[in-house]
Amino acid sequence: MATLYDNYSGTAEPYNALTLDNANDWAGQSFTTTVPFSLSRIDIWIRKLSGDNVGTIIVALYAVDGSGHPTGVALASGTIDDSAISDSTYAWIPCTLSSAYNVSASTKYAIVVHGTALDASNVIIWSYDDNGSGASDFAGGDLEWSTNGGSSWSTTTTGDLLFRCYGNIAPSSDKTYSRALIAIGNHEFWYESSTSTLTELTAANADINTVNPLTAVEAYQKVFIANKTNLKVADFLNTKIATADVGANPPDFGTVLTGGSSGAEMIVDYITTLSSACTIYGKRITTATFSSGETVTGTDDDDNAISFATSAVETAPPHWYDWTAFGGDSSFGALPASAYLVALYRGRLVLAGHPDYPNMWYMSKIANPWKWIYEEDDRLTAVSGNNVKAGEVGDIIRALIPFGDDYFIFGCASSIHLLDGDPADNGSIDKLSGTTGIYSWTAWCKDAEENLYFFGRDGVYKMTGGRSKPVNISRTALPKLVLDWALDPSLHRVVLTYDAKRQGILITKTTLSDGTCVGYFYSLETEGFYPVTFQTQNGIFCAYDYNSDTPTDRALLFGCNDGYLRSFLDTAKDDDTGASDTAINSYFGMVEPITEDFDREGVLTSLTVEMAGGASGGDFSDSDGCSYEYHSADDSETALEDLKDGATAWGSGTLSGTGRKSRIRSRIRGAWLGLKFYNSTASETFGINKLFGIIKQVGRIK
Amino acid sequence: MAEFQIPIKGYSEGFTPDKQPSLTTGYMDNMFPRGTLEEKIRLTQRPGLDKTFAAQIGGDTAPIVCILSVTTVD
Repeated sequence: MATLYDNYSGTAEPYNALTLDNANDWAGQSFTTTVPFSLSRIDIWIRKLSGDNVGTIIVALYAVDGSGHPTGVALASGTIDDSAISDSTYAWIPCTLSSAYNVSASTKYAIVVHGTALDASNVIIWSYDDNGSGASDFAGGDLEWSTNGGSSWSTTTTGDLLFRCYGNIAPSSDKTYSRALIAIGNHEFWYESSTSTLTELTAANADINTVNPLTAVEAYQKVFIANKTNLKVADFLNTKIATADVGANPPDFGTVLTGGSSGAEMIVDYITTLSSACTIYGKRITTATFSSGETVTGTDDDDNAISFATSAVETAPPHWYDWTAFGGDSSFGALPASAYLVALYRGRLVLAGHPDYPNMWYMSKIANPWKWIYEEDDRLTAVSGNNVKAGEVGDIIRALIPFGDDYFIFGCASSIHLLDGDPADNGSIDKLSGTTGIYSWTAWCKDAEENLYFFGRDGVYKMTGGRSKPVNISRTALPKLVLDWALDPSLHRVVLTYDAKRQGILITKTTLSDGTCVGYFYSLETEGFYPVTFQTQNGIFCAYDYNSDTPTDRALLFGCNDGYLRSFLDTAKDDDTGASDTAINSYFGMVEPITEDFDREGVLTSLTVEMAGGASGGDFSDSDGCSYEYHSADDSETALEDLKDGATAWGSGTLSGTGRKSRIRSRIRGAWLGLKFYNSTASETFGINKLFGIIKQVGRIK
Repeated sequence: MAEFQIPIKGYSEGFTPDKQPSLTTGYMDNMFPRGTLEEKIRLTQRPGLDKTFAAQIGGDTAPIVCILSVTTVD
């Protein structure tokens, strides 16, 4: 139930009448809020003339400029239909806003009413009081009127149109921020412009080169991109204003600028130049917006007066621009000319990967990604790997891995280094490993407990807490992993990613040229490796655990070879491969002895399988069927070899449905049994709970 | 009666088959310990990959090379 808050209900009937008889006739009433509330409905005291059809009447809330006139775009709006308006008597006509607007306390706003169908024969009358005619003046605002569709306004200070604002102060939402997905491919930058919808930021098109290495990091409500010589910013925070001449005193980082006409204010974040034509990006802190041609003023850090004229109306984010030092000026230092690694650490933007200085790292000033000058006696200063005690790492840097604000891992080609603390404030660098490096910037991930996993010289490694000596976790189970994969950074991409839902690490190798993709899932629960293969369309080039605002979009996302974002879907029994789905070829084999005495043979007389899912239907998800085959051999390695090589089986068949299946009368004889269960049928999956058989001992092995 | 243990602990090729570590196998593909059937540890076919967003970034010959998110204050 909405509550009545700010209003002016009139004091001196009969009221005066403001007539709107033209589409360009706009009427407004400013008011000053007494408390903050969520404004959801505005009632106005209006009528129309007998027989009129006034069409749709628009009621909108606006910010006001320094003169108290409505300004900018509507903050919220709603409509009133002709049929709701009496043509004989005045009445309070409610208008529900299409979305509620949270008004601030002690802030002046304006209610604006107009209609596109209004003309001399279809008229709206909005009543007002006039303290010049004996009414009490409404202290919170005044009557505003425009005859040119809101382009300019006049004020009647003695007049006050009758209005009522309704809303509530109950928490309408706990949401205080919005998260948007970013995906980069084919030299394009896409962002989630609305829930589940990705839109290209066209200004970025071909301004990056995704053939070259590229990394990106979120910081300060922006995305910073390192793509060799393309160092770019996608800015989702700032408002942009432009001027043909920024004047003698350009704004500084943090300067507050004020629009002379609009009353709009912004805190400057970044400017493109220190003189002449300049684009200024800043966080607007008012509801009023910057207009074209107005004079913007402020005071810089040295108390110099700033003054320039805007050359256009402000532009809302997102924006795309070059990442340079502030004003593009060397007095604020310079970013490295080339870098493909970027990270955020202790509020510093970190860059590395300059081809001429591959062992160098560079960090911006704390909390200022535009300041790269090295300043003595400033613990916040920009630093690089040759100007402080915590110096170069001595190896080619391949991965930048921050751990909060506490420590930072440099993953290098053949070594791993730990930066402890801040490099400009008694930090230190220690070598954690001289025997393995980190394969690449995508070949690492952290689990929920901040343990670091990475692909190194001899397989998959784990660093507990990210700062212990690396331990190879794949060598025992996968001793030939590196040999089998024949990894070549010029041909292959390795991606490691933590799957929180399935409690494991997915490790994939994708061939850059065609998307061929193989890998292993490493389960943190069983500490086992599980081979996986994907279709070439699904070849994984990057991955990201997206904690979306929208529950259905929360997923571990894979950036695939064909330009789609995909994730594991528990109900999916096939792989999506674009226009169609492709069946998953899943199987496992087992090699088991069927003799108690390896000098004698055994006979497996029957085999029983319990498929997953219990009874058909019911509470548990049902397995589909699967096929099986069994082989016999006198030694275990032959049994496994027969499975792998696809040798002719002793017997085979299919199982369908769930639960316990009828006995398989195998009558297979030998010392070792090779069993295979598999399914490569579209829209099917399978799982087996239990497997047992009856074995009898027979004669000697010949 | 003999029970054959399902290789729930995954794949291992570090030993000869007669010394295969318990609950592992030397022959497996596309099986997960938590697969498509319930959230139980059970050897099951891995879940399929499905599109999460309808948009195709840049066409079918161009892989997505970087994913992240940006958070803005409302």
